[in-house]
Amino acid sequence: MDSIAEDKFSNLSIEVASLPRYEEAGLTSLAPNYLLKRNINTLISLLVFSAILAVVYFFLSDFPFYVFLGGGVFLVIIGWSFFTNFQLMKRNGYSLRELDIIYKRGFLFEKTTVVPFNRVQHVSVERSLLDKFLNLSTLKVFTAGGSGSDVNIPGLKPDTATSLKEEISERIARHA
Amino acid sequence: MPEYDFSKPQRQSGIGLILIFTTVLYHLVRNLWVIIVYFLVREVSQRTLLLATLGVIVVLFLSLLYSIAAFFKFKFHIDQENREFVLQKGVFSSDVINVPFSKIQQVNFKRNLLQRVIGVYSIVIETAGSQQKEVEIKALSQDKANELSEQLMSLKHSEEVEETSEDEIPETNNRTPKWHFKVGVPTLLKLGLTSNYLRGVAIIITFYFTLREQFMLEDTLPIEIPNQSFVGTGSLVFILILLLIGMFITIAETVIKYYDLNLKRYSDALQVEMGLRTNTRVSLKENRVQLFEVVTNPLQQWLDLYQLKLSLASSENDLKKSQIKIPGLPPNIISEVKDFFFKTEVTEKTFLVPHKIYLLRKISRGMIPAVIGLLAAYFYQEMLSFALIGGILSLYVVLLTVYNFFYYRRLKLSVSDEFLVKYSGIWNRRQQYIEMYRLQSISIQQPIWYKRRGLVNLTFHSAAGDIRFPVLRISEVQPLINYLLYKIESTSKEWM
Repeated sequence: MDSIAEDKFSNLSIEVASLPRYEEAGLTSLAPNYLLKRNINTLISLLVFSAILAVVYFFLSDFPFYVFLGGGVFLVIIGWSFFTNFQLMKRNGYSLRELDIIYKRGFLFEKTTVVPFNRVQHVSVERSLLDKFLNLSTLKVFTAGGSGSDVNIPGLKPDTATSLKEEISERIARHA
Repeated sequence: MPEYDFSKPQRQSGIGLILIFTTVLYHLVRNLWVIIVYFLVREVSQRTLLLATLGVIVVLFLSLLYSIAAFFKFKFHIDQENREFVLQKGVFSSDVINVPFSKIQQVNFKRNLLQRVIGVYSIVIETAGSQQKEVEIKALSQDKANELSEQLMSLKHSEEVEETSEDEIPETNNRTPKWHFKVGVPTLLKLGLTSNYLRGVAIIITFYFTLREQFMLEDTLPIEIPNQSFVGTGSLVFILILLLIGMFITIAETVIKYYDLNLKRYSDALQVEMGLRTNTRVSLKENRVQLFEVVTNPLQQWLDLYQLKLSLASSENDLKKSQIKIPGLPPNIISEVKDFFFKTEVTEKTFLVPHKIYLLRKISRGMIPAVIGLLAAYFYQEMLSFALIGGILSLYVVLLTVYNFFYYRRLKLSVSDEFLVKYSGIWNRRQQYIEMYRLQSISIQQPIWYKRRGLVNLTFHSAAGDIRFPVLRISEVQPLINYLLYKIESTSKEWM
């Protein structure tokens, strides 16, 4: 079945095997501070939830079992979040090719999106307050295909993000 | 264009500060109205009142500072060198938005009440991006707004040299169409008869409940029949009557909605006209249609009734809004319309089908309710007859398996030189056509448990919505994606 399908593929008007392969593009990792940012966010939720648990424990001291159960479940979730953060740092990456940008992200659900430059509507660089402290930026690439087809690359060094943005803007202009 | 020079980063009209401040206040009030109401309703001590007043003053002062900061950080200019419009904004964050001239769809003016009072204009630069309002500059004087809009539009047009004849189609009425097709009332009757009556039934039920709610009809129209022995025949008759009315309503709805359906093919556009109550007329240019879908069911197929769904580029994620449905067309008209929108023929060469895992997964997911039912039957043996539950459950499992099997069998993706066609549906059979070069981007999803088997889900993003295809072999997907990227990146055709 597989081999037949592939045989027929080479019948298309050009040789598919000779095309550049997106899956072989080397991915560039995000800046190390991205991991720090994710961990800080996880820590913040840890603090918030601990505070809630403390309050609940204070009022519900008759049922400590449920509080401890909740705490246990929460610890597992937090542990998983930290684990995921490390995995994401290791796996997320982008690649700028001559005619498109590839962004791969996710751990349990890995998603790779390829956006050709001649379909890009506009590009922007954004920074949150935390990003400013950690010296990070987010690159946003918008297309006409709705939010599912847009690419947001967080955790870039600001000058990388800006030069990527300018590079992409220039390539859009060249194609338009 | 000597009057205003937009090449340097500049701010809005000074009076715009009022607008920003008012907007900030408005948002504050909208979010904190509970507290305000609290102070209005409750009697509060002098001390609290004093504190509250102080609080209000601090908040007002901070909002003013915020507004001033927002005003000074909001800058825009036209960058001739990079051929784009640039907007910088954000108080705590700093956002930079770049809109290349070629991506500007339209520049609109807008004015709300406050803007009218303080005499400024909003300019909205629409692009075909994912957000509805991409770029809005809220406070510009009339002259400046006019000038900016003119400059932007002329820059946009300077980018698209070949499309000089882009203006609206001049009066299609007094030209003779290449062909003309009309769907008459008999066809519409046939169409209504072979449609899904459940829609009609749903309409009656909603109507009934709204009426009941409004007039409290509980006493006069008892929906439950009290006598047990009566239920069998009584509810059967009731269901039959309901279906009959549903059928009637469905037919009536179809006729009203599509009355006098006309298709006219002009040299540069397809004109669709329909409707008794609200007559709509749309003129479709060939390059506006992003997705082309043919829907039919076996009955309608036998009667030569096919429905066409044309999806246009939408600025939001909302698919329905920009979709045009044209029902009751015979196959030859469908292919005529196809010829008009697609210049090349669809010659199907390769078919991709989902992996068997997909069928297994669908069936096992459907089993979950069955297992729960079985458990319930086991725990409440005294109340329920085990045989009855068992019978119902086995029937359910058989139906589930058969349904999913045929669903799986129908699902396939055809790949030709220029087109992707997705086939799906058991009763309502859909064929979704997309021209490869119109794709905006492509996503491949792989849950971690698909890795070992080398399976992926595929999503094609078009400007009129996404087409998803589940559980394909990665060895087939990778060459397809590389081919699609080649198709998109090597074309000089505009997707819209």
